[in-house]
Amino acid sequence: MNSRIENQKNPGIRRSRVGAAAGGLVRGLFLLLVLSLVVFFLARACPGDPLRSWYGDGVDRLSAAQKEAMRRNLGLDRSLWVQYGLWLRNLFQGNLGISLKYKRPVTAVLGSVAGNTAILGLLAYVMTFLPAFRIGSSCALKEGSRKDRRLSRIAVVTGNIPSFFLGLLLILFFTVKIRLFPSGGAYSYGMAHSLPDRIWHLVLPCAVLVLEHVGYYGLMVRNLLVEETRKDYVLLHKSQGIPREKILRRYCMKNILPGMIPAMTMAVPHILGGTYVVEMVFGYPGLGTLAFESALYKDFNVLMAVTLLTGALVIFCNMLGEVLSAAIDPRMRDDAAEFREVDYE
Amino acid sequence: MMKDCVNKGERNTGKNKTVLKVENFRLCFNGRFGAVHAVRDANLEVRRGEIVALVGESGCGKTALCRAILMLHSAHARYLSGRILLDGRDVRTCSEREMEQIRGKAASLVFQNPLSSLNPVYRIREQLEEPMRRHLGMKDAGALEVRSRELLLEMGLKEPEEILEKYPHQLSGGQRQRVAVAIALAGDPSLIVADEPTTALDPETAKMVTDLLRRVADEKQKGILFVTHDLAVASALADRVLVMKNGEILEQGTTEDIFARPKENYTKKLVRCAEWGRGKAPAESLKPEPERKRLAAVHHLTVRYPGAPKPALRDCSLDIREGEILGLIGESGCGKSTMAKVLCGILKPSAGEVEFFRPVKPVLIFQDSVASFNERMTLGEIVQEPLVIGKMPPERRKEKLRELTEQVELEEALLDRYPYEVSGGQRQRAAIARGLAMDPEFLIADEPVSSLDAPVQMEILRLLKHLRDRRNLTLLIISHDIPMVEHISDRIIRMEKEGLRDEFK
Amino acid sequence: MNKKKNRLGPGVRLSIILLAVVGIASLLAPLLAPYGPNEMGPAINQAPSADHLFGTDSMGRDLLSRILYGGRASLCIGLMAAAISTGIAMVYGSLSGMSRRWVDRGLMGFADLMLSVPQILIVVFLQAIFGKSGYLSLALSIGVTGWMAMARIIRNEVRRIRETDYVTAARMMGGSFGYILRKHLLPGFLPAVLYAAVSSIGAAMMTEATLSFMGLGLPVAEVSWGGLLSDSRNALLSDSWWIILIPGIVLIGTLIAIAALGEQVRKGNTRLHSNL
Repeated sequence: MNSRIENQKNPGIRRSRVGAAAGGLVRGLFLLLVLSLVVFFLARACPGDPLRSWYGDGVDRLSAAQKEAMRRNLGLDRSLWVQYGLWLRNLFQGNLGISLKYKRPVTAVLGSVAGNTAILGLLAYVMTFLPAFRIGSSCALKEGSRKDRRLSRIAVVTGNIPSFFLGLLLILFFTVKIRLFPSGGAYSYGMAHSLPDRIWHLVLPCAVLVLEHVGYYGLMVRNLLVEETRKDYVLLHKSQGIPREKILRRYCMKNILPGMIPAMTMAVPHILGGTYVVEMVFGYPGLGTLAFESALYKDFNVLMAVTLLTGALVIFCNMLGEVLSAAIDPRMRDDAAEFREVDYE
Repeated sequence: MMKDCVNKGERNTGKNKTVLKVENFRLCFNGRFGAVHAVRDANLEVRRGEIVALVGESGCGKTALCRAILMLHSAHARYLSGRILLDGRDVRTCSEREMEQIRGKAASLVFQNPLSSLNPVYRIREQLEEPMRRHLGMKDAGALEVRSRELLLEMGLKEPEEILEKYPHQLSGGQRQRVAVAIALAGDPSLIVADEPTTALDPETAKMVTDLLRRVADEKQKGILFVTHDLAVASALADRVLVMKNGEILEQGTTEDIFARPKENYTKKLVRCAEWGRGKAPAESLKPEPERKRLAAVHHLTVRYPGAPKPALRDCSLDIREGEILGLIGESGCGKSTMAKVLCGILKPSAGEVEFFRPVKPVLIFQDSVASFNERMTLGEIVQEPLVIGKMPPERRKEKLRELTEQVELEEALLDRYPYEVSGGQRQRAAIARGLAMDPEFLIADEPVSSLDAPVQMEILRLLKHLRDRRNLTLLIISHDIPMVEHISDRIIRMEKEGLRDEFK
Repeated sequence: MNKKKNRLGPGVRLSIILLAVVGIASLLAPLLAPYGPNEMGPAINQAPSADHLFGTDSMGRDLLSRILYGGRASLCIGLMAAAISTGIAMVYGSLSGMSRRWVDRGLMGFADLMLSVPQILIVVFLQAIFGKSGYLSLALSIGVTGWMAMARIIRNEVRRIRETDYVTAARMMGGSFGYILRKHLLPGFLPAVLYAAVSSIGAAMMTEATLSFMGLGLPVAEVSWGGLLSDSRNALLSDSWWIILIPGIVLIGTLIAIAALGEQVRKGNTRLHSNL
């Protein structure tokens, strides 16, 4: 993807990795900029008075002169591009407008809940992939067995249960019937900093997210591993007397990582989106609940800000993924594939 | 369990121990349509310091036998009867655990294609150290390093430290194969089974590998079972030869015996194939060459692939004359295929030009018939494709198709099959037919026979020559197989790296 | 590639039957439903009985009828959205695959960008902006945000096929771009796309259900499976399990059947036996 000036005769050149990372960073920032552009223009397409949507209801009480000043501040009398520029400047100054619903600066509203989402999302991500790799490799090891087929089928089922429904079911069972877990919220009243309490509240939402995704990624791991076992080097390792399980869990696994890393990178927006939905179902105060409520309320500033923040997070994870990919797969490093692609006339 | 293994075997003593003994071995696979008998009643023996060659066409069961020696087949294989004794132990009776001890220690395997058989994401160092750790119990990093370097030097690889750091795809084909042999040796096994190790290599590298194997057998007193489809290679290397066909071992004996006094018809056929092109087969009478006109000329051609450090072709010039068979030989990677692509107009050169003295459209017959056929099209559709593109009406097409398949001696019934359902030789005929469909005057064949067995090679080459005579074609044959090219060409041009060349006949 | 007719496994056959039943029942909803979808009756929160096969909800509406009508909405929107995203993906992916390197990079970069934001968020954004919701506008929102992954698949396949020897051979034989597209490219990437297209139907249906559940999908008067499940939130307290479970099972069953179909389409060409 990036043009790496790597000489095939010198495999140890490390500057290519730094070069790749730098290139990735630039690309990431560029993407972020384009995203902000798209978001801005989309938001401008919203119906309604832009003055009101930026400054909130308080606008009604202002004098005409003040409104004029605000208009100029937002550049409403100038071209859209200038407005974008001004908006960007505001962005860098940390000013994202006022939330219509909460009557507070958007940055404050976001800041108070972003952490909650981060905790839930990160937990869900880790708790999805660790079992996915473990179970996927177990199934691949026993390919075709009853356990393999059964688990594969279960994976298909769990992957197709909408997360909100699963959430409802879990609440029905664990909260209404059994009273084991709370039905919502991130923490009990007044216990915002208590770790055990937080964890207690995280169990159900996290369970929903994990059940939702672990099947899909576990199946992916299993299928990739099964493909690997068809390759010749597996026979070589077997002929060296390496036990089957070690061949699969170590040698084949390392070979599928370059394939899994793009999937794990793509998983970030998926799991994040899932997190948003789950937050809504459980009344968990996070970016997701914020996003959906602001959509219902037509609170565009908040919606825009959440979109930008989410996009930034994902782009950042993409860059990480690229760096990891290059580090792991030596073939990608040498860019051997690049110059095989000759542009024929 | 372990005791059973040893007791069932023979006690081996003495210098010329038998490393491998196969007795009445039968193997079959549970195929989709019933049992497929891959090996029938095989008997063979390999002793220390001896190289035994197992020769046969693709599909005759030699690979199945090799893999059975280390019990590498998975559940779909059934070992029906017989014994395989490795260093005295009958591997058929050993459990998987016991086999893990035996594999790599009593015997190890070298595969045909080192690019796919070496693990692509591990360095050579790690791949070399694994058997040493596992079977020799070596743990100390320093000792491992020393031994690894020694092994690579013994293989004839210079600068072993560099090679240890590399990944398989960073080495050349010959280097990779030598590394594969080193890995096979790392656990210090008594037997090395080499499954077509030189088939994918060009002649010079192949010779290096076979010399290496000879040294290993002589100096380290290892037994080597060398599997190949090429009797010529086997004869240069082996002490004894076994001929295999359809799962049965037809004939065995010392190399001399097999060549001088072949008993079975099939063996005689193989011997003939091995000898042609080496001056023993009746050669064409040397007619005085009339001075031919030039058909095309290449002037100072330079081709650079984007991003490649060195050019694929540098300042090459050559002439192509009307009606001749021109052979272009050289090692793999020296730019022959690139030259072909430029001549056909597929690639644009970075410098230099190709001049045609009369309007001629060159037709290319690709190297890999599998890749150059769309797997979703039947052979018939593939051969007809040029006619379809040329908008020939269907009735005319059918006629022309029949003509073409006759000319290339392809059975009409095969036209409804898919590429993966026919043999390599038949695919190659179809490829030639497709080329001929365009009524070419200039045909470029890129490695037309390299992936085929020897008897089939002969037939295809004879066909090409015949076509040239009948249709007055000009033929450019590109290959790394020198004897084959020598046999058929009028003129030969040899290419070195990047296409510096010299010419001779 | 495998032209032999493989007998379909029992799971796949069941899926096809289920989908057929659901599809036809939804299509014929006006004929089959015993009551209107919004018709409120006297029997409130009644468990399944002879009168109401699936029971009633807190407003006395017959669940069976609502499920039938809801199926129309959900299936319709799902199919439309999938068609839209597949169509966009085919054009975008083919274009990207066939064009020069820098155009390709630009196009794929834009697709990557759109992938950076979770689909649900963009759809919510679009819904918030454009307000009105009908089958088509909802399908558009979902379709226009869901083509990216498929486009990438198509683009990769097109690039791969483009480089093969048989396409080179076809070009040498004088084949035009249209010919190569028809004869080699399309049949080449179709299998890969088919699986993705079938999966996208399920995904679209899930997205629609999620939106309706949140109140961001179809308006309250229109019924869809997601909307039904949204109502069921109240059912938690009244302990009316049928309001939650029955629509849920119908939705999940349909989604699983679609997934099974997709898997069948995907049954690929892995080599027969493991080397392990």
